Amino acid sequence: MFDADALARLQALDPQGASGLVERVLRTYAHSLEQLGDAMGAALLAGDVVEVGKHAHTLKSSSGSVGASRLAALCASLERRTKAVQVPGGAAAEGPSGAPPGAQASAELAAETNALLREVARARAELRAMLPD
Amino acid sequence: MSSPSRYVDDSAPAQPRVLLVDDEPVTLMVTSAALREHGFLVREASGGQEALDLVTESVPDIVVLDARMPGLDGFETCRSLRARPGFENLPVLMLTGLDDDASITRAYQAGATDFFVKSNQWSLLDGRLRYLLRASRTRQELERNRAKLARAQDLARMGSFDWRRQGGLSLSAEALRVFGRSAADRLGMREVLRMVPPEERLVMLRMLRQTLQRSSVLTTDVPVHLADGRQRVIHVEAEAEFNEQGQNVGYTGIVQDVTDRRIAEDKIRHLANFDALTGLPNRRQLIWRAERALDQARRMHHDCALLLIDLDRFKVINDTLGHAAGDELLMEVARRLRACVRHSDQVIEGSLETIGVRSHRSLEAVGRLGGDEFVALLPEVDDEADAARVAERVLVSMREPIFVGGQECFVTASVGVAMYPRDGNSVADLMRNSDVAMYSVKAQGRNAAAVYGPQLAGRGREKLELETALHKAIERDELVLFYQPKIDVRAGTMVGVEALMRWRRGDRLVPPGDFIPLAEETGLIVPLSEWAMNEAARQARLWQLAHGYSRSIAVNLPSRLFERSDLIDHIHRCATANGVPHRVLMLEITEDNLMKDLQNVIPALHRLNEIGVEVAIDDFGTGYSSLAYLTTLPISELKIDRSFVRELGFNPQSSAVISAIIALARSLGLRVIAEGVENLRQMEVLSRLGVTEMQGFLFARPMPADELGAWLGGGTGASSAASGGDRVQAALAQAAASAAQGVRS
Repeated sequence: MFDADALARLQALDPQGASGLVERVLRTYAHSLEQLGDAMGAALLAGDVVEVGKHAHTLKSSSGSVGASRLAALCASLERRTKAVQVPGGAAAEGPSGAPPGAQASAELAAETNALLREVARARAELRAMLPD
Repeated sequence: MSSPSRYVDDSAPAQPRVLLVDDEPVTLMVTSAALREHGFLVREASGGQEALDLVTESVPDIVVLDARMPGLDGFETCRSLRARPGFENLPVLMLTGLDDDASITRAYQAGATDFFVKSNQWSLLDGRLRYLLRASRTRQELERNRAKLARAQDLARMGSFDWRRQGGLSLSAEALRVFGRSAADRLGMREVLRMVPPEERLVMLRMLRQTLQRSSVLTTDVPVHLADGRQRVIHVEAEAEFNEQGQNVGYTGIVQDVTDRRIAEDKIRHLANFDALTGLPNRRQLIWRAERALDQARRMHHDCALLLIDLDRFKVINDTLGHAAGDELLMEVARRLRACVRHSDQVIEGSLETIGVRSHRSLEAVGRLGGDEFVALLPEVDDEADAARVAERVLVSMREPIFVGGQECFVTASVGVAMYPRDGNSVADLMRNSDVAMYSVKAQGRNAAAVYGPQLAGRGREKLELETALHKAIERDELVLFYQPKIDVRAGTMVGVEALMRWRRGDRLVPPGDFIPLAEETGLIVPLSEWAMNEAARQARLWQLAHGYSRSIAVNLPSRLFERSDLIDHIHRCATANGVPHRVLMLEITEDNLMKDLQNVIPALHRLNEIGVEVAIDDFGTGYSSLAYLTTLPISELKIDRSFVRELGFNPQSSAVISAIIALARSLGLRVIAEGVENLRQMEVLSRLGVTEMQGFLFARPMPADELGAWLGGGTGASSAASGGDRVQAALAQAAASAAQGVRS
């Protein structure tokens, strides 16, 4: 899930490991994944696109910071999509003819969010494996 | 020289304090760790409100702010921060997402210093932060310097201005203050020029036009009337500004209120040119005026006069009444002297031609050279009489008593006058010659004026001072008589003494050679000699009482004393006043003196003879005495000139002359005495030649009266002669011993 040198770079910020930085960061990140994942799912269910976007933004930021580039990219994409949905008529231009533009966009948004959430769940599992209890 | 950046780095804190604000805990943690690793002191805030609270607690060097946060976001936080006083210039770096252009614009609008796209390239963030800190410090420095400059300009009553050909005049706040306006006021060229008095304004406009034509530097002082009625002097300095085409587009410069400096300069000029005590022009100013006056006189062919005025006996007043009273007196004298001439206090510097042909009249003044010496400069006089009239006016002005120190003082002055061009072509010459004239007045009894004449020349000031001092020597009791024994070497007794005058001038004992010629020249020799005769008579009486002394004391007199009709009277007075017989005084006259005025001296010699006063001819053998006269003169003693004694044993002629003198003296029944006997050999030769009475260092030097006591004996009566004889014997023995020693060594 992490970039090849991501952990090494983190390690470099705490060369002696005195502050246990890497572990603290990973735990915090794990915590964020859990919280943001749950919150994002809830927002999606509630149909709150703006809220989904905010969580995507935050998660993007966190993921970027720890070097989880793939996840960050997914978050960025989702964030963009939430913005496009928010722009009135924004999706209409793209939307294929016939279908109601809002519904089409929402469906796509839901699909992308669910994909992200699956990715988040995988990342959490991976982190759990990495971190001692 | 260090580079500016180096300078800034030197002043940079070792660990810059960063306030890091991010709502997202992972990023906050990682960024914070990264910044710590790069040497920053980091405080963390997880939201806008928390950041604002922390900032109040302690001010960081820089704030790193995440743009998008729930609650108070980065933009709002930044805006609130900027609104707080003191945080207007705190560097704020806004962190934005990669493709968030909108945030960038909003960041600047909110007052962020810069933005930074989030990245894990920590060294980039580090570099950016340090750059911002450096810029911030540079800016602070700039602000400080600007504030300093404004303060300095304010203190110096200075301000800057800018004038454009297109756009006119603009004045800085400080410059406006120089013109008595507030920073909010507008002041155009027209208004500024209106503050200049009309007559100056035309001159000013002409100068401005010329300056502009030549694009030259403008430097001038302008008098202005400010709106509040104050009159100030404004110094203006400006340089032309050029555009890329080399055209003069305007001027930039400073204005400064130099009124105080001008006043100070005037004061300094006054101090430098006027005497602090009397307010009169001082030496420097007076010489300056005198030089101008001479220039003018040279050109216009008229006479000038310089009057040197010296108060008489001012020192006595100063000494008895004190310096404060002395100063008071000088001030009053100055006031009176001013009234004697058309005194002008004006200091004139620059060319006289601009002031007018008769302008040299304004040079006329009385000045104080220092002490009690004043000078009156008369830049144009018709003749000597004209100057003498002013001198007379000066003397008259002193007649009224001056009331100082609680009592009336009478002051007189001695005035010396020197005329240009007759008595000198330069100020120095005129000063010197007026000085000579002034001192001739002093010498002749003061309280008068004298015009310089060549007959006074050659009498140097030093000599004249000596003369003045000598004049006072008698009243101050500075003169003393030393006595040198005359010895009869065969009998071993003292046969008399010669009195020799000395002058105790301060600590110094002035030998007669240094003042007797001057005394003779000036006539002071008369009172001096009269004093000496009286002093000798007094001393004879003292010795008579103490030692039974009955010999004579010889006093040297110049021929002019013998010419005085009152000589006999004076001797009589001296003798009776001191209770001694006339014969106690013996008079010596040099052969030269005698022969020079023989006809006039002879009557006195006869009268002296009649009253029992003996006369000796001093320095005998050097003059061309007519031996025939000697036979007829009533004299008692010949004193062989010391030059013959000195040459005894070297020059055979000396002993021949001495033999001749002795033969002559015997035939005339005169005593002979040899002067200047300094060694045993001389004594022996003289003895062999038949001289028995001698005087000289070999026996005794001239000595004060009390030292001579030993030669006269300790007691009175018969024993004194014996003890006096002992002393003579002792002297002879000592002389013999030292001579023997001299031979051995």
